[in-house]
Amino acid sequence: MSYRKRIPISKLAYYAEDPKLFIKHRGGVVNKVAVRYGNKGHHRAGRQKLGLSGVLVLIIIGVALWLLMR
Amino acid sequence: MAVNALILGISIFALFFIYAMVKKVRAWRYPVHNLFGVNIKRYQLIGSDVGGSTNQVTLRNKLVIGSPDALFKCKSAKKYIIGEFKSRRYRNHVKKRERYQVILYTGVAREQYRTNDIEGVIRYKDRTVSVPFCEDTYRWLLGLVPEYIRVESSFK
Repeated sequence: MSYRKRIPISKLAYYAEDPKLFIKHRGGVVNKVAVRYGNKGHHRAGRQKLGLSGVLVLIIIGVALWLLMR
Repeated sequence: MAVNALILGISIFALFFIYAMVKKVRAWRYPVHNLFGVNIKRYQLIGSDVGGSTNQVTLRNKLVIGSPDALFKCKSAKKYIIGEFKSRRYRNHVKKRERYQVILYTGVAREQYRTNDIEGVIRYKDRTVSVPFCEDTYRWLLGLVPEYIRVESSFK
């Protein structure tokens, strides 16, 4: 059997989990809100961010340097 | 005596502070390592799809294709870690679809990189879970490809 194209892994996993649901939604999105939430999370995760503790550390370093230079 | 104790206390605090700072800077410099809890010294990030990265790695064999969210390679051995990120909380279960996805990535990576030393992990919002590879499940999933093609072509 020859295959014209390769199957996306995420879609095959979706089909394997629930073929009926896959057919019902024609291989498309089941919950648009969940997809939007997931995409947002993907974009946010693994980004360079300092966070509150990082800002605190920078403030402490800044104050320490200021005290030393005074 | 009191002055000595004060100096000792300040020194200990300074050491902890420096240690916390080094950890923080490392986590900031290597956000994807930090996300998946992968050792920065031992593993090198080959490709990633999270945080707006554009250097994603594509895994493929004759039947399937896909890009995991992160792929790490051990610097000293032929060992890899595949990371998949999910925005939801773990809630004490890995969904079937998530497990199948990671097994497929791991299986294809095993073929592509010619090593069995590949670990698949899923990073949820609240924890990281390792997904053990299952050869039987991988073969079963690949066996579904002809059926999938038939179903998908019926949509057109």
